Amino acid sequence: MLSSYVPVLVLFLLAAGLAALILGLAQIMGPRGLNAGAEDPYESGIVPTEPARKRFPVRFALVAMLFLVFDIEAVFFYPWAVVFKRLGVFGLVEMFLFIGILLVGYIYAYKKGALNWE
Amino acid sequence: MENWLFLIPLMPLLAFAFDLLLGRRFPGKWAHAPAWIAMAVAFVVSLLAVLRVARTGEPVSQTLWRWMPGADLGGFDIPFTIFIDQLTSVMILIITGIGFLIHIYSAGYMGHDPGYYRFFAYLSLFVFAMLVLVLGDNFLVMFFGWEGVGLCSYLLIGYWFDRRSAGDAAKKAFIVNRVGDFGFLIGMFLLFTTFGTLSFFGPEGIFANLAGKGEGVLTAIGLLLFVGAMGKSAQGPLTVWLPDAMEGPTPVSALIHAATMVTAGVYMMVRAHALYEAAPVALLVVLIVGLATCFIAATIGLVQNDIKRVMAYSTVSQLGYMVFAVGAGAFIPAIFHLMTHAFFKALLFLGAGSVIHGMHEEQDMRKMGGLRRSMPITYATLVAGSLALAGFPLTAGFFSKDEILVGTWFEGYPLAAIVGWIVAFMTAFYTFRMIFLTFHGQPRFDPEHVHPHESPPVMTLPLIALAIPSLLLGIIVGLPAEAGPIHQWLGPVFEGGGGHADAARTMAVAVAAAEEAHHPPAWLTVGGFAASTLLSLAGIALAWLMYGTGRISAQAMGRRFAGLYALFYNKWYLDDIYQALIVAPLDVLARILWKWVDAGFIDGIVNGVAHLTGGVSQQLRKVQTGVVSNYALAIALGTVIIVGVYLLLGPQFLAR
Amino acid sequence: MEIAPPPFDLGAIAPFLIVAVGAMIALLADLFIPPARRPALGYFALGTTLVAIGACVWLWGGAVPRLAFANMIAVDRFGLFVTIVTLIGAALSILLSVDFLQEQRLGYGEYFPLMLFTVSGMILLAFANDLITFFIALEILSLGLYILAGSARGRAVSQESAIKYFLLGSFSFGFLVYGTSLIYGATGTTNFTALRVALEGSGLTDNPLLLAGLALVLVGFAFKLALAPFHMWTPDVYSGAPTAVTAFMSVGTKVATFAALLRLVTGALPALYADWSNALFALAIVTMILGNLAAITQRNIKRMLAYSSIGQAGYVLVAVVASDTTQPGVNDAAQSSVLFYLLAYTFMNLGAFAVVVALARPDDERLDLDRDYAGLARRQPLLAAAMAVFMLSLGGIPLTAGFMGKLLVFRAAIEAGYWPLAVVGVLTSAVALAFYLRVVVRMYAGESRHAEERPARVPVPLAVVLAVCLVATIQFGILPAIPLDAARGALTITAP
Repeated sequence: MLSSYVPVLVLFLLAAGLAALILGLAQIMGPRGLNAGAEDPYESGIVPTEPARKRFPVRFALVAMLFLVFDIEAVFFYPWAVVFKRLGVFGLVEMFLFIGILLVGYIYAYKKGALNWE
Repeated sequence: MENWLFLIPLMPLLAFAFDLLLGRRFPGKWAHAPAWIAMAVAFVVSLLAVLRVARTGEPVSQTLWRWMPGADLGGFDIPFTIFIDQLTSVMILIITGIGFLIHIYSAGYMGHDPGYYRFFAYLSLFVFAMLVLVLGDNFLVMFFGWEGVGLCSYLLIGYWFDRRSAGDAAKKAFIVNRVGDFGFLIGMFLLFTTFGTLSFFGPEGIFANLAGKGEGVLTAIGLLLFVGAMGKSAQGPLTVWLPDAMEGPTPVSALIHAATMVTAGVYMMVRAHALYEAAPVALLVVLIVGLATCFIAATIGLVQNDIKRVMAYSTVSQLGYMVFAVGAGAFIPAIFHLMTHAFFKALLFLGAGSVIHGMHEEQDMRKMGGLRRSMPITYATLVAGSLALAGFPLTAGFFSKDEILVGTWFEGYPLAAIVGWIVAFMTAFYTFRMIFLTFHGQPRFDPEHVHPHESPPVMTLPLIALAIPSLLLGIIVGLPAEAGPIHQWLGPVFEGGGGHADAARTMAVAVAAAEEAHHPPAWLTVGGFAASTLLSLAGIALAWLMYGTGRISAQAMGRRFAGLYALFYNKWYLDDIYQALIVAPLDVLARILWKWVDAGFIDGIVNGVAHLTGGVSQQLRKVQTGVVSNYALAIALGTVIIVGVYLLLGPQFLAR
Repeated sequence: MEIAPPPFDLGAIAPFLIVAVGAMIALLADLFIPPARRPALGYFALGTTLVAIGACVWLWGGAVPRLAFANMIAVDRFGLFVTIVTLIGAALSILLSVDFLQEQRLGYGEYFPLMLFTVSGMILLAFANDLITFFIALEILSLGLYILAGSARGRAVSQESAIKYFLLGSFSFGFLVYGTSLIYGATGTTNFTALRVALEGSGLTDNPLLLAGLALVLVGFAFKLALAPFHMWTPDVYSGAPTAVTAFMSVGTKVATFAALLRLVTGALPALYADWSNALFALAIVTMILGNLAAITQRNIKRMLAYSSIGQAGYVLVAVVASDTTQPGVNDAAQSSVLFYLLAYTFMNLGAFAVVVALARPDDERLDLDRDYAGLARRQPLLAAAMAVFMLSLGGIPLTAGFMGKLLVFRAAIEAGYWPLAVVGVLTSAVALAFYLRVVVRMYAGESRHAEERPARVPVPLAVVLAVCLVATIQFGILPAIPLDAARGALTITAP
């Protein structure tokens, strides 16, 4: 029974081996000299103007979450639209229920001021 | 109709709850009101139920609930059923009827007590427990009531807990009863393992399935249950608590230690008569113990000076009559005597209470005398009660006692009957010794300080109400002798072995024939009447000569029989024997157990375990670091272990 | 080609719908009513749970058992019983919260809507007949709880509790989803009914994929039920969350999740009995020992109750292990004891938390056993007496619901042949008495530190909760017939 997993095991070993190989080669062959530029996130790119771990306003997270919710709604619409005719009235009612529930969320978010930037 | 039977035990329980929770806040002293109402309602409902039983001749019952039916604990299913047949009828009428009168009386007697509401709460609780005891249709419910009355008895004996003697007496009653209850409990265990049920009746019940069970195990059960009865009814070696129980208030003595609770043992054995009939050896033991108790208690009663102790010993002695009647198989006379005794002994105690009340808490008869002029009603009713106790012809006690003795003779124990007649003589003597010492002759108290007075109507009315049945009950239910109404009433309980449903049918003809033959011959009935009459009159006459007129000197008698007098006066040295044989060795044993076994060994183990678990717990705390990644690591490790064990060791790595 | 939608059987999920719609209404109402009127939302939520209980009762007498929504939902008396217990727990928790939130100045916020959403997840969990439904229900339930745990926004411990719960919850649900996918990979289905059919008489039972999947799913359960060693979040989360929330999650979550576990292992995987029973056997022993031992040294009452709830879950697990469907008699005894224990646990644990809530002051939650519980009997005799009853019941002293529960559980274990579980159970119960009785001793023997202040006033809703829990705890101990009969009648796990 377990023998059927041998390919998986081989793949796993290959992946791990390749990663080890590349890192090992870099360790052995790469130059050691460190300067200020080498520590930067992008060694030869734009010079960072401020630390990457800076705190940013929670508003961004809020918008991101709301976006996700409605994004998923939109994603759900696609397959529904494809089979819309074949689902018939049932599909229509279902989708209205779904939108109705989302609407409750929308009203809530709106009234709570989650959509106001200031 | 049967739906309201639950009211009978419920009313006293409500009164208890009401008095205990709210009694203290009652305006004035009205704590007795709920108890009175509850008793009255319980009595009326009981009466209706009994009338129904009388009309149909069939028992009535109501199943309130079943205990753990779905638990599947080896068939351990206890229905809480109220069951009223002719036997129960007698008991509940006594309990609620006499209980009601005693509740009324108590309002007068306890009127000046600061714990008034507490007294009524306990008294109502007692009535509840006693009703449960007699109403239950299985041994467990009966045991529930059995323990309940024991508890109430303890609470009420020790009611004046600030007196050391009351506390000691309460403890003594409780501990001695524990010995009996232990026997009862083991008897119940044995019943359950033998029959797989604790129910009395029905096709699955105990009494219908006696056939085919070994006589040995039935005898063992009978004896163990009798141990319980000895405790409750103060028989044999477990007598000692009842006389001390007189430390409680007098109404308590009347209700609990004369009329109801102490008869529980007799009731239980009569209820289980089918079982006892199947175990003749156990019955013989019951007979012997009852007879011995009857005789010994009477001898002690001859020489007591405390009015309540005289009554206490007479109660033990009368209970002995009932028990040996059961032992002889004369069940109906036993219940008959139980009934008449409940009336006249309650009357005597209440009368004694009235005397004590009027004498400012004096209980020693040597400091009384000549009270009949100052307490005419108490005197008249107490004489009525005493006549009944002494078996004066045509009083209630005369008929019931006579039936016991004739019945015992007829069942094949003439010797026991003769001892019974001797005791009857002694009973008549000590009863009227008490009357003459208390009410006749010259006052022996200090008239400067003690002003005997008649009690208020709230106390004397119950006395009168009890005096009437004490005098007349025998004529009403006891005539003709051995076949009176009481026999017709209780007869159905004993026909066909009280539950042998199919056996009854096959035996119906035989029973009918046996009923005809089951009457004592005329010579025995007449002879019994004659003997009872003569001995009773002789006892009263002797008491009159010694204490009424002083023609025979009591002191001289005491000196002539100095040895016997000392034996009787010291209660056959029972308490001293217990002190030497049981209490003292137990004391030593307890000390050893405490000092060495308990403090050394067991505490050592317990403390060791506590230290161990506490230590482990301390170590466990260190694992709880509060760092989320550590927790996640624990989850991951747990997962690895579970998955790894599955995949590496395969299923069933743990044997069941 | 016409797609035939599954029958639209809304009646089957009436309790779920009622609570979910109630939650949405409450959420919207919350936006429009002035803050001073917010407690009304609590009573609205209470009404919703009561209506849902009514719907359960209606379904109980109606057409059950039945499957709905393409077999993803199984409506049977088992689920209904659990739902009723959950809803009772929720109703009592809501009553508990109404004054607590005001007193502690926590603000109502979305508290009651969230609670209702959580309850709807619990109900779905009790009816879930598919690993997918199960997962969704668990997520609904958990998301609500994460936020509720952090609802005391001003308190760092509350925030910490929410974050810890969220992180570890997500972590372990990962295992759950992975396990689900492995099971799907091995059998081609996630439906409980189909799983049972697929596994019966097939050679699949030794399939490592299936076994690994089972193990991972069990890990997910073990996390949610706080079984050792997946329990470490419990003390931190329980003690950090507001007490009313802790009370709610300690009973509702456990009840619903145990129901789902029982439905999965006995309804879908009876063929794997040897496998899951062995794993749960080990978990039960470790849980009983660890939970009860660790509780001994706790001085914070909420942490103590957290560990106590771990130990209690171990006892329920004992009966789950004994649920061997090949022995109908044993299985019935085991499953009915699970249901009875959950019911008893709901009342006694909520009661204990209700006392904790009753003692809390705005400035100080009064959680220290030595400082705040000492001498309580003298200051607040009724509260102390109630707490004593709940402690004795949790400790399994006769004449309480907890005793009957333990009796039934251990008896089921012995009948199924798992006497080591019963032995460990009894021994750990004895250990547990150490910390349960210590509370009683502190209350009755100690000297109060707050003797000079006036005793806390117990608001009416809280008094109702205490009274209900007290009556139930004692009644189920003395007369367990009614709940036992109901539990016995609720043993049909639908698997047609």
